[in-house]
Amino acid sequence: MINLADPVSLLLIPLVFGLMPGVLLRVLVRLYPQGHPRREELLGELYSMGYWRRPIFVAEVVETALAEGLSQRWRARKGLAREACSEPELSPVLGVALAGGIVTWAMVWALLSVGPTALFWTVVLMGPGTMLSGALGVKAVVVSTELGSEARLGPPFKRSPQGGQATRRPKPLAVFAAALMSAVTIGAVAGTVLGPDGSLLLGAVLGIESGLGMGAGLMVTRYSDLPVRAAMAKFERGPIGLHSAQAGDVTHDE
Amino acid sequence: MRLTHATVHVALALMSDPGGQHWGYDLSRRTHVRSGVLYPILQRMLDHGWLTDGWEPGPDPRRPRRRYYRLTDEGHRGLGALLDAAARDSRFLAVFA
Repeated sequence: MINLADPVSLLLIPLVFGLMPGVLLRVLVRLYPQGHPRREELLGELYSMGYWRRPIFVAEVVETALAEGLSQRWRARKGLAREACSEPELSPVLGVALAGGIVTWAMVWALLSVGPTALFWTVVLMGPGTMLSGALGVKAVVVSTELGSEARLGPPFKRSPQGGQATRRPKPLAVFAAALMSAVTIGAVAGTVLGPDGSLLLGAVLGIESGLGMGAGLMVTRYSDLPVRAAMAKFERGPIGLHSAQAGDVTHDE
Repeated sequence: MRLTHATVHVALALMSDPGGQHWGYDLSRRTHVRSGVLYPILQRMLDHGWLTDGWEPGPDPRRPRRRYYRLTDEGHRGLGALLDAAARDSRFLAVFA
């Protein structure tokens, strides 16, 4: 019996009869992999039927989403694993990143901390050595400076590869450690050079460097191991210079 | 395609209007096949090339579009063969009665 004075009933009425079917369905369809047509299809069906049918439809979709959505998701993951196994290893991305001409130890630390096989990106577009790492617009890029080598472009960050299986993972601890390390390093250097009288300058340097470190570190993102390889599999390949629209963003020492 | 009651009911519903557009929920209602069973069947038919799908241009752009299914020539032949097989199968006597 529905009692309007009962808060539970008041909660259940909109849940069952109007407000919530759409919300519940939007949650349920997320069981399907990102980009799966069933997501939109089920929502489209919901809004094409009468209000009183909607809760029943959503109840049915629970089964559909659990059975079909989860299995699709599982298959997508297995597919990724297979694809990853068939891909050659990514060459380690190396290099000291430069941000606006200033070497930030924070960046170095952050790059090293994510490991040599991880794909990471940064707004920093230059690096000494044979490899460049950076971003072309919203795409990750790994470029070798050797002539005739290939530039590898990743998918846009906003649309993760293979239907959203890859995730960007900021590393807050690495960012903090990087900022701290850079602050200590610069502070030690400034203290040694300037002596105790340089404490004001030291403070300023520490602040600036920490800020730079934080800012640079926050831009460093990595993919978890499996999606990294999947992302690699999706890469377009081509000689440097052919990506004219974006390659202009990258400069390197020749 | 495995011959099951659900498949046969869906095939009958699709063949009742071979040139028309079919909607998932509408098919579910007409065939009394649960959506948890229906959608995988439709997916298999899509994979076989028996159906094509498309998106209805919605009357209201703020609402999600509906997906429709349409029988292909190959699907017409495939479902015809499937229904022939079902008609000869004693398990489906009640369906064709």
